[in-house]
Amino acid sequence: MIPPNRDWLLYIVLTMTLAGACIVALLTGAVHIPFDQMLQSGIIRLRIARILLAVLSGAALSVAGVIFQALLRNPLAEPYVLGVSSGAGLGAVISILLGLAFVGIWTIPLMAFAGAIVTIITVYALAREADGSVPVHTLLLSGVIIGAVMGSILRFIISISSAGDLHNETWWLLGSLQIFDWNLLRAVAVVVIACLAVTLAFARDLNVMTLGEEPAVHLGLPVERTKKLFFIIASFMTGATVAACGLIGFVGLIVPHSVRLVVGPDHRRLIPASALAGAIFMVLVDCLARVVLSPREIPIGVMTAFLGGPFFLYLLRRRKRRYWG
Amino acid sequence: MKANSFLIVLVPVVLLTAVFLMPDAIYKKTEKIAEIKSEKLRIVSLAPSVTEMLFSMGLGDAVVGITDYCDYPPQTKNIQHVGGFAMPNIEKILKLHPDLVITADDKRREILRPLEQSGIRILNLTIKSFEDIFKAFRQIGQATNHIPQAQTIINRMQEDLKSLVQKYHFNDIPNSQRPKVFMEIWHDPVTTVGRSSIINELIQLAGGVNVAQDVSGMYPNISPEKVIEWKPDVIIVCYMTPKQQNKMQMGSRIGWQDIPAVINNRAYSDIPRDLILRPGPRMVDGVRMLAEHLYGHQYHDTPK
Repeated sequence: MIPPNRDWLLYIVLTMTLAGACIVALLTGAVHIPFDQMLQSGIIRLRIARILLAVLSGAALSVAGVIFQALLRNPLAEPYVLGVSSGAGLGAVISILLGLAFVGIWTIPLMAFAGAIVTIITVYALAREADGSVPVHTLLLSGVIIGAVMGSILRFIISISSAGDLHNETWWLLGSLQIFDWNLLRAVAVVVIACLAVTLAFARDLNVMTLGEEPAVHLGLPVERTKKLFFIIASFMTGATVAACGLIGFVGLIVPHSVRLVVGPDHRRLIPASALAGAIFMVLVDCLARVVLSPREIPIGVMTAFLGGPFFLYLLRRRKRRYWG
Repeated sequence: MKANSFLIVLVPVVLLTAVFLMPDAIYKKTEKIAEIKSEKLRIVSLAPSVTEMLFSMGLGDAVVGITDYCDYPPQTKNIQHVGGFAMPNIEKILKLHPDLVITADDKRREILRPLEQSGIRILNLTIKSFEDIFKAFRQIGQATNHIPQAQTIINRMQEDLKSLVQKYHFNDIPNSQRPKVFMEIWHDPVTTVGRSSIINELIQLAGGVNVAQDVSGMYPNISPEKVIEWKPDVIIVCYMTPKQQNKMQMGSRIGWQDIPAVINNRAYSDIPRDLILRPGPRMVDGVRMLAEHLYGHQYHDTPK
């Protein structure tokens, strides 16, 4: 456990690890580039864009996971638990099925994000009580149900798709960090960075939320406003990530727990540490995904599950041994 | 209670007996359907490529059932549909009383078993190369007693391919100097055609070299970095869903500005996808259009 007033040490270590991971990712890939050609190569520009997307998506999914675990007071909570992923996936699949291309390369991400927004609004509206409050257990139920409904429509669309559409839909859903448009990257960056900043500013409130709603009220926290704010922030970050990258699972579940095992449950440290750790994880996993079966790329969602699971088990066992001797 | 325990035994026994006896009862019924024989040949096609092959051989009148995706030639508009891609509707097929059902590369024989048990002939074609297309024509010819028509089509296709070689003389050009072609099947993730795809052969027959020809598999998704490294001379955009492909701006992709195909403005998305993605008689048209893109401009610039 890191002592409280040595936070700066933690952040320095994490930031340097992130920088190191980015450099490794920059130098590896399907193509080997000799050093002298490095700066002029278009491949390097492609890798930089990809690494930035990995950093953003890793941070976004991890922090969204932290927020949902705190809000719902449930260790199994993760960014996709409230149906945002199903809604975004549905938007993307509809776009592919109808062959939409009204804004060129932005069409599928835009439709996916629209699907995410529709889901957020529906889940929220369904969970809202007459007095405007949103009880946490109702929110969870509402999210799971809407997610299931969206998921079933998604599967229906897949069932009526032609071979070509099926291929494209499946691969989109498997997740990929390929990015071709700087503007799309900028759009994702704006959403994610803004949401991360707000989360960090209100991190203390998340600590209070984990005590329970009633104790939180008695401690003076405006509980309803806090819940709504964090729900929207976490869902926006998740929606933006899924829209740009497809479905990347495990990160939002594993990273918060792993980081909590090391830095403890205080969200003022958990949030920035998870963001950095999630970024590191995503950058390195994407690196592997690009290299292992080169020149083919393994879908990033497959890799995160493959690597995240065993790593988390290892952490868990180490922790248990320390407690139980 | 004695009545309860009696029911607990009786109900499962009755259900299980019904389950075991039922299949036999149903099969007896379907055998009766098979006895109705028609004089004219009735064929159901379960693949768009097969439908095109049948029509090209003059067997269009014999086709009584097609899939939702069989859209060529225009005469197919009036033919009954028996299903989509996932599951052909067995009941609809049975009602049409076909003599022959033809599938392409379908490994799901179990689905068609009720048809076989009704006495309907199933012909499954395996089409993985141009030679397979010719073989498929011969198989259809044998099954339908239309062997001369099949041979006519095969001869015509082979003639068309030969005339391309004669027109553009690409057999005189060694492989290392032929135009390098990158065929993009989808953009998210970037997907191309690999070694085992018939489209790989199509590119070769058009006098080009597939940059991904060493990648195993049929439609591998590859790293965009690799495409930059391969430096293709020509990019062909051919999505399975055509509407998106016209909006794809290859030149605006990060890092792709250095690719020769982008620099020389040789990215084409105007070849109808069915000419390339559907392994049938019109693939030769696809070869011709591709060859025109690869060699046409040179041919017009330098008079021989």
